[in-house]
Amino acid sequence: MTTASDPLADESAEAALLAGLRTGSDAAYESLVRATSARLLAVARRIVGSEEEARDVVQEAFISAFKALDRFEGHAKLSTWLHRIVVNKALMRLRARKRKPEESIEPLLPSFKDDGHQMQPATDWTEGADVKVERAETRAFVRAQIDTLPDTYRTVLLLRDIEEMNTPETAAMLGISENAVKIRLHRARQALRALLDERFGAGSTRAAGQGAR
Amino acid sequence: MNCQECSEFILRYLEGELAADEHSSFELHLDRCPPCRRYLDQYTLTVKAGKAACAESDPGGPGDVPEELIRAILQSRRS
Repeated sequence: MTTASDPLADESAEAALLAGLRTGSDAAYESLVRATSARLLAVARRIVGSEEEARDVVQEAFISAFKALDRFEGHAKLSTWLHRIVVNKALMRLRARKRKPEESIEPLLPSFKDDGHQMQPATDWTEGADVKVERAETRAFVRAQIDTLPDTYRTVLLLRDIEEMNTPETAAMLGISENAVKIRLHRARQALRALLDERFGAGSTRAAGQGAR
Repeated sequence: MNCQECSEFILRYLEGELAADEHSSFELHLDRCPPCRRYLDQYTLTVKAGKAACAESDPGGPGDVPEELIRAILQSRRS
């Protein structure tokens, strides 16, 4: 059984909501906005950063969605469809910002000697790094590190790893090739690994136990 | 396969996109190279950490959205 507070709980609830939206029911619109806006606002925040802009993005996305509702064919879930619209609007915001030159990501990528060996091989992360990830403080640190990545890489990491879009979807959303998505995703993850090394690496001030060999 | 090639193959390895011979060369290299094994483990944990960190920023409920935003969205439909 579904409740009024969860109009997207299952297919039949969503179908009922959609029917309500198509007849222009105020209650259906309100129900949709209340059920989805918190998550959509979080998505927009992650991409654009500022709270104020994130709210504008969500509002713009709903306005577009309401206008396009007649064309919503139900191939995707309503929540997925709205999610895509928010991501698209948030990316448009980023593009519209005055572009400043991005910092190079190269210093965060592994470098290699002529013989193909790493210049600085990865040292052990402290025991329990996987447990640390569960801590609120570590999560805040990880989010802050993601935010430091250049937008070119940060957006791909967010779309693929966090918003769980696939490579073709990410490529279409960003207007780049699938190969470019893969290259940027790999570099973004490598750079983030290097940034997390500060917290998890044996040489970090927070490290305990195992040391680098 | 050397460490540099191994590093470049990680994403395709994790996505199951390596050809059979690339896949076996990759795993053979990992078996023989503890730093590359460590790097792969850390890369995988990095992806997990990113997901966990951002999942937490997802709100628990509608209380996280200011009422004025909800009102503004609903109002925009009528204007």
